[in-house]
Amino acid sequence: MTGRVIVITSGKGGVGKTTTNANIGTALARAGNKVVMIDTDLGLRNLDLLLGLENRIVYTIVDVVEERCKLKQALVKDKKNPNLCLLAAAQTRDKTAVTEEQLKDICDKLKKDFDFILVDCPAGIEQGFQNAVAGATEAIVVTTPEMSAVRDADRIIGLLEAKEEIKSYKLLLNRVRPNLIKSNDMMSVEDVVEILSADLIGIIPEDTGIITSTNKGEPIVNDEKSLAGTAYRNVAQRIMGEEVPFLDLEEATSVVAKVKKFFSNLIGKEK
Amino acid sequence: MDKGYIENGFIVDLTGAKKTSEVIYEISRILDMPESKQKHICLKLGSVDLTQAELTSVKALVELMESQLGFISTSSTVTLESATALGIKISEFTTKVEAPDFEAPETTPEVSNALDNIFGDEQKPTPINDEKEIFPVLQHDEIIAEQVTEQEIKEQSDEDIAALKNEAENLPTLYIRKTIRSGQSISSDGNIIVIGDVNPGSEIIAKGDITVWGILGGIAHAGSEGNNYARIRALKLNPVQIRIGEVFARRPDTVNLPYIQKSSEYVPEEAFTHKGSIVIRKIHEEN
Repeated sequence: MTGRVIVITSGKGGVGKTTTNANIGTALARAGNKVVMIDTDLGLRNLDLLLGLENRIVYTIVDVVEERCKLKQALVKDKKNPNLCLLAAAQTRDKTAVTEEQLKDICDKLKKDFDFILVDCPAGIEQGFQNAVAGATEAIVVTTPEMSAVRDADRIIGLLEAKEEIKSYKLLLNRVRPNLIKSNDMMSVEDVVEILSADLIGIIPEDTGIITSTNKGEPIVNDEKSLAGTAYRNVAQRIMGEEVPFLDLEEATSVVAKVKKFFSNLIGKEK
Repeated sequence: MDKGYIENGFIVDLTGAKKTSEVIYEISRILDMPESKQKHICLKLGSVDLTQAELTSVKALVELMESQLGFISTSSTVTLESATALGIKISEFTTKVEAPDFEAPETTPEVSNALDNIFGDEQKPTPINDEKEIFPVLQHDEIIAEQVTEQEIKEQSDEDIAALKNEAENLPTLYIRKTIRSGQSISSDGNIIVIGDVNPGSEIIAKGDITVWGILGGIAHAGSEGNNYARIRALKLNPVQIRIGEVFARRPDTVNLPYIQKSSEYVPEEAFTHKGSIVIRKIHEEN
């Protein structure tokens, strides 16, 4: 088995890298893939919280690197899905505790046993980013429709393009609010895609359910009714090579739609 | 547009609207704002003639947006008759109270399109378009630009100027076929051609000319070794800063939009120095 190593990165913090990681990982595992998630945000680990696995962590990636345990021992199994594993980051160390080569080595070993290795990248473009990217051959760049996030995503894509190992990168647009786009207060999906000239792999709507799901340690993809959950499940399917149309996030109740409908009715009557 | 306050509602001054389409267009703009929900809307119409059917549409439009049509004023007899027939109150506005200003949002293309579909041939009011004032000439930083003008031009002989003007032709050219992204810097001892966009946050520095087959949104410096006759060309010039030789200009604060939309309607633009300031002109076919 040769797994695909995908790094999930963004440059800017707070755009939803870790949330994306937890949800895509869970969705891929639900679809029957063997998935391992690696948290490389040493010193600021979050991924375990989102998955509700904090209390199960015994060994971390630093323990593996410093040979205090075997790689297999450090993999924490998900509560619900046996296909899903987490290799947690150390909370008490910093980014220098692991080197690029060590991370690449870990990824290469995991490739043999897993279909997907998702690497959660820390914010920034320093050593943490370099480490996270080292073992990956694919990348998902998470951004939101804001100037600053787009600018940072642009920077990250530039850095990814310069890396020979990264064969492809895809754009994931998070926290999209169709109402704000309508009122021209937010950049539209098309705008962002055009600026960054990158392929889109998913559009995730802003969803307050994400906050509750994060607090509960339960990824939102497990909620069948949630729109964001559906969007994440679609992303997972696209990663698996299926063609899934993008969700139509526009609400038909907007004022513009009302005006259109009203006038078309009116004209219909007159004729 | 003036808006006067009345009780639980406001007056919309549409005296400037000369056509039915304009009236509808303006009303739909205002009703799009959340502030106008569930209010009494009073319309101050000018000379525009509204037939009974048209006025019904206006009234229905207002009601559709969860507001109510209060009363209207008009100087047109046609509108007056329609209003009387429909039982809409007619009134003259004598007192005028200053209303707090809220910004009218940009009309969305959907509204314009919807209106186009209905009032096909009639000309719709052109939204205020500042673009013409924004970009033909970049406002240069006057102090630096003036200093350069006086020193440089006096010192240079005609031969020097001719040599500088032709310099770009004799320089090697760096040819790049990708998007230049934030944080990337390209510099060359010759000319630079980029087939792709130059995104904000990046910089391009060339001894000779810079040509961008795309949107130039970063910093561009042509004639980096002091040639004020170098030129910068792009399908759309939207640089944060533009430098030619020793002259530099920055994007006016009024148009500080880092990202602009791609459009097939852009006319290629060229920047050059003229009397110590940077001028941007559109390159039309006839030139």
